[in-house]
Amino acid sequence: MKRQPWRRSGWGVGVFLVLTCRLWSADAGHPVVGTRFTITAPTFRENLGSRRAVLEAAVAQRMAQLCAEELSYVEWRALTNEPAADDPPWVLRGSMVAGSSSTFIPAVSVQFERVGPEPMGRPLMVESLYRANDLEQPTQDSSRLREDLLEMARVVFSNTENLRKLQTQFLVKIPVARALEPNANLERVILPARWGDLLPGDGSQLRATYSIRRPDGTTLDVRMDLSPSVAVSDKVACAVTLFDHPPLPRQTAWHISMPESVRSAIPESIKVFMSQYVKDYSYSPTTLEGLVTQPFEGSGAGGGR
Amino acid sequence: MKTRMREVAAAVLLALGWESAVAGAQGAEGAMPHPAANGLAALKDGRFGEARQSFLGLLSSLDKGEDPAGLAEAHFYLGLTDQQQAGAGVEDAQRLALLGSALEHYREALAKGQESAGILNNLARVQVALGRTNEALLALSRAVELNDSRRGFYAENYADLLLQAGRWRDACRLYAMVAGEQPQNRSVHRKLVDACVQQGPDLLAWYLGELAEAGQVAQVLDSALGVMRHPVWSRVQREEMMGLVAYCLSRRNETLQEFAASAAARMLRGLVEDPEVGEGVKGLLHLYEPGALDAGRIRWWSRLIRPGEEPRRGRWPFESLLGLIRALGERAGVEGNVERQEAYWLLAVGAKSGAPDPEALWLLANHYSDRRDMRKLDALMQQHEVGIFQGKGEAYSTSQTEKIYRYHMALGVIYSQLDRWKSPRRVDSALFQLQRAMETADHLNAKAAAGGGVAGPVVVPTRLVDLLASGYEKTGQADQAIRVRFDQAEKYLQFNQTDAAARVMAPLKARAVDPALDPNLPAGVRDSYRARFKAIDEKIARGPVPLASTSSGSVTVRVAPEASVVAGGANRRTLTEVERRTIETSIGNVVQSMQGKAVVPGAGSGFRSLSTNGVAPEVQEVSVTGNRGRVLLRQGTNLVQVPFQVDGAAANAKKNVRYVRP
Repeated sequence: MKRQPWRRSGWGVGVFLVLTCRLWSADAGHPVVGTRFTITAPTFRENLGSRRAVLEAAVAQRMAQLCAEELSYVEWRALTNEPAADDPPWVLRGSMVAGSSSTFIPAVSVQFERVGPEPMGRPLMVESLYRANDLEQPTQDSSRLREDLLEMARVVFSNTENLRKLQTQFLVKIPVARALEPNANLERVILPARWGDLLPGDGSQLRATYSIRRPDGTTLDVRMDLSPSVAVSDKVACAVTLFDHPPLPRQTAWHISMPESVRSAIPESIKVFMSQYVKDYSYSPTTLEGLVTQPFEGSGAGGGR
Repeated sequence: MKTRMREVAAAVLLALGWESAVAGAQGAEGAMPHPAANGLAALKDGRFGEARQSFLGLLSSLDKGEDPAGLAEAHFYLGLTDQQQAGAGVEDAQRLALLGSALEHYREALAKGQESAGILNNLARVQVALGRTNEALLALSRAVELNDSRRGFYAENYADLLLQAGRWRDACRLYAMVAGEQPQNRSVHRKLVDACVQQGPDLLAWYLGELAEAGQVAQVLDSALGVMRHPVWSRVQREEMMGLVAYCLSRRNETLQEFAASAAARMLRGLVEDPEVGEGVKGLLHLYEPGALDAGRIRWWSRLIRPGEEPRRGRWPFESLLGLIRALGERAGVEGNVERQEAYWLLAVGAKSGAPDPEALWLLANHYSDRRDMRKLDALMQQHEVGIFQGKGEAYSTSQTEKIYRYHMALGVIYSQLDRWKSPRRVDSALFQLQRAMETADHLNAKAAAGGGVAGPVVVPTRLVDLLASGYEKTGQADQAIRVRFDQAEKYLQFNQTDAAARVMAPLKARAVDPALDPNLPAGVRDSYRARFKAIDEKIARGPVPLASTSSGSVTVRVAPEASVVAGGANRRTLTEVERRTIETSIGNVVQSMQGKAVVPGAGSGFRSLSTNGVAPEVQEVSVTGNRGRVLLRQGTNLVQVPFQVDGAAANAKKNVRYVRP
C-alpha cells in the first residue's frame, strides 16, 4: 500500500508528544517513591545466602508494580538493598521479620514502613506470614518462600483499604509540586504538573502551603485547599476550596488577593501535597464527552482535551 | 457549590479541550504537520464549515484505491464534525440531516479501514440520537469485544445504554466489570449499586462479594454500609450485607484505636438502633472494644448459617464473622498481645453453642500445645468437648468434609498433648483422631483430583505425622510408626513438598535407623521398606521438581465438576463432561485473548461449538486472580458460578483477568 508522507510523519507527532511529556515531567520534579524489601528473619536470611538479594529485589519490584497501578501520580521505583546516590528520599520499605525468639520456631510477619526525611512512626501495615512453631515454614525452600512473598505482596497491595492507608498516611506527606500559578481570569490555581501524570479524579484534594516573610522578619504561614477541576493545556487547574491567609478571614473560594499572596511567597517554601486521591480513569487524550476523537489507537492526529 | 464549580470546569474544558489534539496534529517544528491539523483546529473553535471543507479536501487528495486507512480517517473526522455540529444547538431538521451524514461517514470509515472500536463507539452515539437503540447496542457490544485500551470507556457507555433499554442485568454485569478494573471509579460503582438497588437487590451482594474478594475492601465496605438503610432490602439481603461488612473488616489492617476513629466505625454506630441489624452491628462493635469478649454479645450472628446448605455467596454471614474474629486474633498476635489473641480464638470457639469453630479450635490447640499449657487445654476440653463432638457429628451428617478434617486435626493435637492415646478404636483417643484426620485429607484430595484439582491439595501438617508416629511408638506399634512416615512422605512428594517429606523422614535418618534392619520385621516387609526408604531418600535429595515452563504461553484450565447457583432456583448442579470441556476451552480462549494470543476457534471433539471469539454463549463472565478463578454461566433462567484453576501463562500474570460478555 502506498503511504502518504503525512502518515509517515505521524511517528514524529507521537515522538514529539512523548518527549515533551517526559521533559515536562522532569522539570516539575515528578515525585519518586522507592520500594525496598529486606529479609531480616535470621533463619531465612542465613539459608538463602546469595539468593537473598535476588528475592528481595523481586519483591520490591512487585511492590512497585502494584502500587503504580492505582497510585500512579507518583513514580514508583524498585530499589535494591545496596544504597545508591540517586535513591529517592521517600521509600516504602517492606521487611520480613521474625517474632519473639522465646518460641521454638518464631512467628514471621511482613511489615511495611514509611521511610522519609522525617520520622514516620509505626509501620503502616503488618501481616502475619507464618505462625509461631509452624513446622511448614519454608526455611529451606526458596522457591516456595518466593511464591509466598509475591502472593503476600499481591494481596496487600491489591487491597484498596491498604492503598487508602498508603495514600493518607504516607504519600500525603510528599510534595507533588513546588510552585503555584494563580490565574485571575479563570479564577483557578494552576499547578505545574501534567493532568495526565496526576490523573486526579472527582474527590481528589490538594493542599498547598507556603510562607511569606513579613516586614518585621517573621514569617506567616499560608494554606490553600484545592480541588482539581480541569486540564488547562494539560496542566492541572484547581478550584479553591480554602484560602487561609491571616488576617484575611478564611475564604472558601477564589479570592482576589491570591495572585499577590503567591507572588510574595518564599519560593522554596511552596509545597503542594495530594491530601486525598481518587484516580481519574476516564481521562484520555483521545476521548471527549463520550466521543472518541482519534479513530485508531496510535493514529497520528486527534486527541481531545 | 460543587455543581457550579463542575459547570465552570466543563465550560473551561470545552473551550480548551481540543488544544492538545491540535498541537499534536501540528507536530514539532520542522516536522510535516498531520493533514487533519487545520480541520481539527477549526473543529476546536466550532468553525464546523471550515473543518468540513478541510476534511473534504483531505478526502479528495487521497488515492482512493491505495490508502484505505487514510480514507477511513478522513471519513471519521467528517463524521465527527457532523456529530459535533448536530449537538451544537442547531434546528431539528438540520440536526437530523447532520446526524444522517455522520452515520454515513462513520459507516464509510468502517467499510474502508480496519474495524475500530472508537468509530463504533461514535457511530453508536449517532444511532442513539436517531432513536436506533438496537443498532447502537450492537455497535457498542462489538466495540467492547474488540478489547482495545479504551475498553472500559466503551463498556461504561454500553452499560448506560443497556440500562436505558431496560436490560439492567446486562448493564450491571458491565458496570461490575469496569468497577473491577477501576477500583477508584466512583461513578461506575455508584451506577452499579443504584441499578441493583432499583432493579435487583439480590444481585448486589453477589457483585460486592466478587469485588471484595478481588481486594476492593474500601469500596465494598462503603457501599454495603451505605445501602443498609435502604427500604428495598429484605431481611435476608440485609443479613448478607452484614456478612460482607464482616468480611471487609477482616481484611483491614488496623489497630482497635484506628478502627474506633474510622469512617466505617462511625457508619456502624449509626446503625445500632436498626430493628433488623442493630444487634448484629453491636456485636461487630463489641469485637473492637478493649476488655473482655463476650459470646453473648455476638449471638445475633449465630443463626446466620444453615449447616446443610451451600451458601450462595461463598460463605454464610456467620462464617464471615468467625473469619473476622480469627483475623483480629491474628493481628493481636502480630502485635505481641498473646492474651488478646487467645481471647479472640476462645470467642470463636464459643460463638455458637454445639458447633465450635474448628479453625479456631485448631489454632488454640496448637497455641496451648506449643506452650505446653495442659491446664488450659484441659479446661478447653472440659468446656467444649461435648460441643466439639456435636459439631463434628453435624459436619458428618451434612458432609462438610473440610470441617470434619479440622475437627479431627484439633482433637488429635489436644488428645496427644493430654496423653490420651488409648486404642485407635476409641473416639476420645489421639490415635483415632489423628488417623481420621489423615484419612479425611486423603478423601479431600481424591475428591479434588476427581474435580480436576480445582480446590488444590490438602497437605497434612507434618506435626500431625510426628504426633501419630510418636503415638504408635508409645503404644508399642513401631512398625506402624515407620509406615505412617513412609506413607505421608510419599504423599508429600506427590505434591512436590520435599521439605515436608524430609521433615517426617528426619527422625528415621537421625536415628540412623534403616527400617530394613529392624530384626523384628519379616524379611519381605524389610525388603519392601528398604526399597521405599531408598526411593524417598533419593527424591528428597533431588529437591522439588521445577514447575513446567510457561514461556510458551499455553494455558490449561481445570473446571470444578459442580456449579453453585447465584440467582435462580436450587443450590447446586453437576456439570456434564461436555459442558466442562466447553467451558474449559472458553476460559482458555478468554485468558489467551486477554493476553493478545490466538484462540481455539469453532468446534472440536468433546465440546460444543463456540462463537467466533471462542467463548461458549452461556459464559457470561470470567475472572481470574493468580491461578484461580470463577466463571459465571447462564443456564436457562439460572445464573451459576463454577470455580476453576489455570496453569500456564495466566498463573504468572501480574494483573487480574476479567472478561464480561458484551
